[in-house]
Amino acid sequence: MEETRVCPCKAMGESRREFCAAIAALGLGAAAVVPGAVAAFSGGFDPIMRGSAAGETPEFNLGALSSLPEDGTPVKKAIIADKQDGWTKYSNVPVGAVWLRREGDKVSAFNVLCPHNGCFIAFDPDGKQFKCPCHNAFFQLDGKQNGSSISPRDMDSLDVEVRDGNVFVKFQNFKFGCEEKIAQA
Amino acid sequence: MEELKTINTDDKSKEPCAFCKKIMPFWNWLESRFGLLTCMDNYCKQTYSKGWSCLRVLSSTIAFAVFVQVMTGFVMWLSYSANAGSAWESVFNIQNNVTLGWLLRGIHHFSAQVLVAACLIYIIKMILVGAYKIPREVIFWLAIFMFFFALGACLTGDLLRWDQNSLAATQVRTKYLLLLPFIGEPLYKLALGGEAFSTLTLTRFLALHIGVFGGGFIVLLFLHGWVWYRSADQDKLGDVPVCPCEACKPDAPKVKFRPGQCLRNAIGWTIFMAIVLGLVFHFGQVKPGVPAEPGLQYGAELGSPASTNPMDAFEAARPEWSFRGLYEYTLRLQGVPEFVLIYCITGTIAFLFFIMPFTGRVKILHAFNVCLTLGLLAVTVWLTYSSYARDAKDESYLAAWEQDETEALRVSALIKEKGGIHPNGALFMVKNDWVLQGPKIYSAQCASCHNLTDAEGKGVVCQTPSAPNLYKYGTRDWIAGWLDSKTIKSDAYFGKTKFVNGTMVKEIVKMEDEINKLLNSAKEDDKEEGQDMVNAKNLIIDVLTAEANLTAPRKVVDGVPEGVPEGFKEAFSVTLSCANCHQFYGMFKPKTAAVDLTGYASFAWTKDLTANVGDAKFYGAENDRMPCYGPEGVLTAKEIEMVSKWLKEAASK
Ligand code: FES
Repeated sequence: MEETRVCPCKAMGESRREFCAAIAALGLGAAAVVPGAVAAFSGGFDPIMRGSAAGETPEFNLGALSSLPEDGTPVKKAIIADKQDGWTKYSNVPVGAVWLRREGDKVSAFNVLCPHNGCFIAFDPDGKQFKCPCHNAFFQLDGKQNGSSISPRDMDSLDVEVRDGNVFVKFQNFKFGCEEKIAQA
Repeated sequence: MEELKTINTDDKSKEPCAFCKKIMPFWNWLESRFGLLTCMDNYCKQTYSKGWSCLRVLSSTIAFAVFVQVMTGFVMWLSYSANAGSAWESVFNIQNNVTLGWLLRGIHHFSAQVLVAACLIYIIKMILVGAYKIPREVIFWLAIFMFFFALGACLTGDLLRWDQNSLAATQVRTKYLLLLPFIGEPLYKLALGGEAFSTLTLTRFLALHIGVFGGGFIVLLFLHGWVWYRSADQDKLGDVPVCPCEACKPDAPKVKFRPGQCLRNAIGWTIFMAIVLGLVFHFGQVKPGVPAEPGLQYGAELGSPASTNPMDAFEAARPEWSFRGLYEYTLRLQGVPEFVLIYCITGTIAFLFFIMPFTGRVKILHAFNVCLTLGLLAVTVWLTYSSYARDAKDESYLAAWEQDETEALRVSALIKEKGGIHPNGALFMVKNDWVLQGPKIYSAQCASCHNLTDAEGKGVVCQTPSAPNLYKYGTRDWIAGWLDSKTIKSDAYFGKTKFVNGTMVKEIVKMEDEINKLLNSAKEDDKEEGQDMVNAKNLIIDVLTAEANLTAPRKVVDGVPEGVPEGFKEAFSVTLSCANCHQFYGMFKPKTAAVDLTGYASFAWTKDLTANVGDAKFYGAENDRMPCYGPEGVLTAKEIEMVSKWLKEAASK
């Protein structure tokens, strides 16, 4: 006793009157949904719409030059700044870190974040090289890649300046996983 | 509405029993409102081929696993706090304080792992027996979606415990989103709730875990059950056999769902639970040196609390077992752009799986599908194995793990000791614990000049030592070394400092020469005098060793410190002329200033010296390169206290 089914399109109604009622129902229904949808949409996509404040690359004083070993052994230093964590604001906490290397009076600085995927690069004192523990990328002390590695580029060097015996570093993060060094917005 | 007189009118033997007849109004109500009886009846009337073949036990076990997940997950949800400052703490509470909480966590964690495996086996089995072809395509797709949702739930659930490992591993894997062009960055920000891991990441991951992946899985499961129920009807199956085995031939003997299949299902559930419990207890047994507490021994892993501080890098971040194959594959194919590896190749494979129901209708393509599945499985197993095998040999990886485990144990011991977690959180406790921070501060600050190594060179090694070795600092042997002309000039003492040419070394050499001269003299008087000097030296060493062990400063009564032996004053100032330079409880009037020996090498003295070695009490203007950690702002007072305490403690071992 198969029943002949109504063609789904016919559900809109057969007469003009029925059709108008159906359209009105759809329209009203949609209108009723809009405010909630707008609020949900904007709330949900808030993290994207929140543009990050771009500006001058901030400079940080990382302490006295004399505190760095002269033999070129890298030293990890924290970048201390204010941090927003959700709705909490922390002042003067580590927001990043750099490897500093001093040879004589020359200082070089590298972001500790691995260009591959942003793990923290460690220093391996035995092998006298940098090593990223996540996918075993190796870098020489001057930040160049050591042999073939999964990292698409060398370690990210940062601008350093020594003024009045103090080391100043312009700190920024770069995009991961690409060959060119592109600053993160 | 038509009322049911009896449940089954067509069969006399199925006349309802007396009891059912009595409550017939209730049955009728159930039937009229929900149609439940008809549905149950249909289910029970279905027949299946005999034997264990096919997928029924597996799919019912998956449903059971989801039930277990919902039950345990909900109870944990009651106690969970999705906040960066209290997530780890709340999980710690579940694991260690909630009654049988470790079992709750353990079952939830491990049944999730077994569930992932079960979904995978389910899909593979469907392909192998050919049960994925049209008209079962929707069942097959739903199974694949279920597998992905299970993985998603694992990925999001992993972060929730908010320990070092889960944070580090999730940080790496979410960054793979950034490889996607255009949508990568927005997706990344959406997932994290901002640019970096924060409380908002936890709130989101909890919502995704429960609302999207957990809830989604349940919806998929119901859909799957419904579609399967419809297609299980032989009419709708068409002539596609479920499986090529004898039992599945259309004319093979049939069994009813009840009770045979019910029993099989129940056995499947029991086996599932047995495996889960085995895992809960197995992983507990392998850690040596863990106190006998179920919360520390059994159930799911809980490492040390997560720190987003880039200075606290965790160096053993690895994906979970289900992603190890993928991880290893990206490692092995270095050089190929990762976007191709992660998205193009895996995407193509996923696509091949999705179209399998269509391709499978052609015999040769079915064979291809089977080969693809088995090949992929073999490669994944091999990659997973080789990844674990490599890590097992990687010393720095193992060391990082061990470090984390030690830290986790220490934190829980601290929490037990204090009777609870500090209001500022467990990380705060970690940061203010001398046992954990002492060695770190020491390595970062002190170890660039000071060795802390025994005669065999073991300990905290300094690459280019240029200051005294602090091994057994403040012990009798160590103090005696300062009063010996050979050792004081050695590299383990003043050898590499400017003091090697200073007054102290000269005086010690002079003193020793004199003692030797007197002892070797022919005159008895001289010999006696020499012996007096030796005794005086030993007395001073004794007194200084006692100072080093002081926990509180000595009381000074009438200018004399309590508990110091009688002869000390004479030995220090007359027999040996230490008092020319050194002060001791204000008893003397040194002519030139050298280190004040009041409370020498005790904890308080060590702390003060570390804080400000340039103070007149210590080396003053004579200081040789050691930073004044306090005034220069290199270390906080708390850090100085912790490293000093640790140094004293390390020396006593
Ligand atoms: S993140 Fe450094 S090698 Fe992958």
